[in-house]
Amino acid sequence: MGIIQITDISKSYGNDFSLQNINLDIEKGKIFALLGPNGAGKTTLVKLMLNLMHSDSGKIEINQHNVEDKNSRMGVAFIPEKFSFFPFYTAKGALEFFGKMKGIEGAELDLQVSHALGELNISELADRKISKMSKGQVQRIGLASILIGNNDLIILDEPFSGLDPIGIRDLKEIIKKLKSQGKTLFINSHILMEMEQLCDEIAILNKGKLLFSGKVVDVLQTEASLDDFFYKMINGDRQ
Amino acid sequence: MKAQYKALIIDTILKEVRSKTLIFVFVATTASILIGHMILSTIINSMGGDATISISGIDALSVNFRILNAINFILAAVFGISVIKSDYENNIIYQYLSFPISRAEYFFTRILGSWLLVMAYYAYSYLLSAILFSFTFKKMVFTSGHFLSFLVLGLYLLLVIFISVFFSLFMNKIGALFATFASCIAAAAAFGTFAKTPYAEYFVNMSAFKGVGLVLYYIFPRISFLDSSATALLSSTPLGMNLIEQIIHLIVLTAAYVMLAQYVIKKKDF
Repeated sequence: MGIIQITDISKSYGNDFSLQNINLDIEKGKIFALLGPNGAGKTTLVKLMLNLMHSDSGKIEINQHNVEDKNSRMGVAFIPEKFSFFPFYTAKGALEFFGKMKGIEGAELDLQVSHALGELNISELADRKISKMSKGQVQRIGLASILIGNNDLIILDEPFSGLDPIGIRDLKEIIKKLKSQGKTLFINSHILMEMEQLCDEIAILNKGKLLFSGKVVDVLQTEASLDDFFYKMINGDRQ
Repeated sequence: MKAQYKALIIDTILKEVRSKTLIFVFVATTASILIGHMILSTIINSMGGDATISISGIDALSVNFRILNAINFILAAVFGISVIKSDYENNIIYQYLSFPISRAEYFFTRILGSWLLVMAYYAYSYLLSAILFSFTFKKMVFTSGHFLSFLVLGLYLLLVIFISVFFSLFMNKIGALFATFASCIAAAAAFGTFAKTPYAEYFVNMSAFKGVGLVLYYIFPRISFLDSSATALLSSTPLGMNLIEQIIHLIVLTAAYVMLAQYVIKKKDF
């Protein structure tokens, strides 16, 4: 049984947009990418997974808990596309807050915070306020937050946007490292080159419809690149 | 207390303590209490140090506290409106709701954090006034009535914060502020009209206006009962109303509104 089970999920916003009968089963320990052009419904699906929105029909389970149950978010880390946090917090303070919200305290929290700052090469920012940081530095605080707590599932919404080339490389390393530790990563992205290198499985979403779901290796047996496959899928859907 | 609740309450206080409204009110209140103390001292000295001829210290403190209560009502409403709204406006609410806490836990810890901050400000202004007035009148003017009034008003402020947070879920800040003031004033007017009226007289000289007041009196939590109780405690006068009915109505309606708020926040899309 997968760590994320999405069964017949539909969600509509008036007449303009809807997610239509989405079914996905994401295995534990894999890197899964949800791909799609802007406005495909990727963020909506993530919001449904985190119970930030309610579906019209169907159900989503994470770790065998319905997403309406707060236990479904136990061991889940999430970074939205544009990570932001209250500017009066220091990097260390923000990470400590994230740890406390996940039930970690004391020496264990101190250890995890210094480890996370070190992994993202931002130890020197520990006592700097978020208001005094650049956008890229704030994004790194967000990425450091996924290392706080014993997270089995990490959900990243467009994680590469806003990062400089070094940040992208660091993030890729972190993703690989987390995978080697048996963590599951759900990545929402439209940057296909990075996804081809990193992911085990993908799903393609367009205009709220799931066009494809499968393994990257299977795709690359018939197509030159994920980019070509993606283009064909989206173009085929247009016609 | 769970570490998550503690963290969220501290986070709320850290967030709201930077509020320009709080800083302004804090400075303005401190200045007005100090100026009031200086004026009173000058008057008493010019009267040869005998203040009891025209004014009693306890009465002066009671009037001062009523002014503070009004300021705290506004502060509670302003804090309540922004406490969840600002998370939403700063796109931070997604982060909070992705933690393993329920929406109700998030909602009520935010309310509790705001309330603790308002109470801290309230206690500060109360104590500062009591100390300065005691010096002015050269005797302890702070009575047990003042203390009980402080506690009862604390509950009133908690409910005002709850009402303003509730409205902020549906409206923008201005709309929610207006709705909070309008509903509290309308409920206070309805309470003032019916609380001391015998049941048999409810429908005497009935008009549309009186009818609306009667509906409001029954469908809205009677927070004005707390306000009136605090005033009665300050002035040591009897309330003159059916206490059992008022207390039961307040508890039942507040519980119903808390359940309604819980349902609304559970069903809301962010």
